[in-house]
Amino acid sequence: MKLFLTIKELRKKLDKKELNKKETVEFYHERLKKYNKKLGVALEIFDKENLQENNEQGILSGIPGILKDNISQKGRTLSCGSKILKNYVAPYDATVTKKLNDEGAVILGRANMDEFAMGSSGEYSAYGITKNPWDTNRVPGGSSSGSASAVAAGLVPWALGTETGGSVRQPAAFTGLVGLYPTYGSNSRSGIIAFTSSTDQAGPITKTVYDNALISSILIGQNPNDSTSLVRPKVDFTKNLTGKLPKNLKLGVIKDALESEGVNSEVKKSFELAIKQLQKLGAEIKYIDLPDLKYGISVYFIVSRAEAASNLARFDGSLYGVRAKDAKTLKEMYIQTRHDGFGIEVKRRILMGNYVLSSRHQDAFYKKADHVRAMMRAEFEQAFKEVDLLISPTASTLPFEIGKMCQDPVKMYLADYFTVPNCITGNPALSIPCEFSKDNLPIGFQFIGPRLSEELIYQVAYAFEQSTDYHLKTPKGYE
Amino acid sequence: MVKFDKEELLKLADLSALKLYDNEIDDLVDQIQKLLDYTEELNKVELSAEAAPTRNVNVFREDEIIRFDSSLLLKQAPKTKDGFFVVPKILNK
Repeated sequence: MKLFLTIKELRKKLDKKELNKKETVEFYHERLKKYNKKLGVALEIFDKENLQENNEQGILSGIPGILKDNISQKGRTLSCGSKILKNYVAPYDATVTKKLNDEGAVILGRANMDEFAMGSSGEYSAYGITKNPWDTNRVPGGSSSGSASAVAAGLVPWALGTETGGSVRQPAAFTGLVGLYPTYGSNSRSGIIAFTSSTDQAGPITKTVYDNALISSILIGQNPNDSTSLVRPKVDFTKNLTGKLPKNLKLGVIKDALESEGVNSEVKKSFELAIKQLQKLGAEIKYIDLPDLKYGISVYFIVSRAEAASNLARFDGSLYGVRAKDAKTLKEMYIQTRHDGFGIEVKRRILMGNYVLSSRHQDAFYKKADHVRAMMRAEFEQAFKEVDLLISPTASTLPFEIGKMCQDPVKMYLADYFTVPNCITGNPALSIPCEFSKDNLPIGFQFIGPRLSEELIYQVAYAFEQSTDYHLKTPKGYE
Repeated sequence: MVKFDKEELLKLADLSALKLYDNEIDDLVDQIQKLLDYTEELNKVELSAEAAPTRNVNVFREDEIIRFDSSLLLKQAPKTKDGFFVVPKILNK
């Protein structure tokens, strides 16, 4: 069987009976098992006899994928990459899981992730690090580390990740894939373990723009179990992939992206090439100054940690998960359970979150951050009066070496400079591959759009993709 | 400039129901201080009145009973008795 097939190619071959479903599923199941030891992508690969397929007619029927382990799959363990949920079994499906199952998806396992989705490298899982298939000495990015690494190595054709401040797009960029952060509220968060509820969204990670648009079309929609989910008409985002840019398309280059010292020179070079390519396709390029963008990281430090501290208060050993043994009092049980169950990154964020929420400090931190967040939203809205979409690199660095950034968490957080702002404001953004580095490491750049502009984003990204061959590259060693 | 120290950290840890190893304390003080210093830039921002934070709105739905097999949830609990969750004693005699 041909390797690295896309969903689109698989669907065609399955429908034409060039492939059969059972063999296809077995093929990917074998591959996942074979390379999981090397890459650490899956926390569990389900038994072959115990896979579900719910709808033979669905668009994903017979096409395997993997879900990040913070997304509930009924009857399956749901660890969130943490020891505290080692023994937790999801009692129901997340809305997104149900939607994928309704389309016949065959979910092969649970993807590794940074504990509670806190991390940008895949090094903070309680169950071992995930490696980048392009260079196994490097990180695949995070926190949807296993999802990205698995698709990049061709172990599954698609995966679902979740994003709070870059956790889908940054790993997609680091592994040469396509990743979407949808307009906040596009898909239901019901059944997804909460980290920062005001920005958390599930997003697909795929090899191509078409595949990404296809999965997104399945996921979006209002759901009464999540009061922040938006009423959005059912659309098929693949319908508008014409291969051409819309007429008179104006793209805004975020000025910081080219001027900032913090952007790696190869990333910058690759991004400049992408700009030229878009111009060649007919886009008008404008340079846009977004002065409040630089506050994104600070606002995110405060808001995400405040919400994390509140959301993670529920993990205390009383109702589910692992409970510390021999605790005599309730408080002892809470403390010992959380001590044994949480890793250092999670503790660090809870502590900072409770600090900025404390009555003494909330005006100086949380309330101020909330206000600057509103200003950033207004700034984006203003920018979208001048241009249709904004573009910038996705990550400011190349995939870094394993262990290199752990010593300096602040430095690692700063690498999210370009992915954090639109999460804070709820704007959609899509990362796609551009020119690789001289050491053949993937680099990504992103389109950020007005709220509900996914259709346009996909159209533009598809035109770029079809005019280049970055999406056809695959890492070596996974034959 | 906010000064974050060991005393503050230990108080926060207690409020957060977290226990810290002795060898974690200095690093945490240092790292949280760095984060707080970084966010210091927000003090320079002139807050614009036009872009005030949005007020969240309530979203209502009918309060309908959805049947759910509670044994599924109770099965997750570390300890149960007669359909209840059991935790260590809260009140003394």
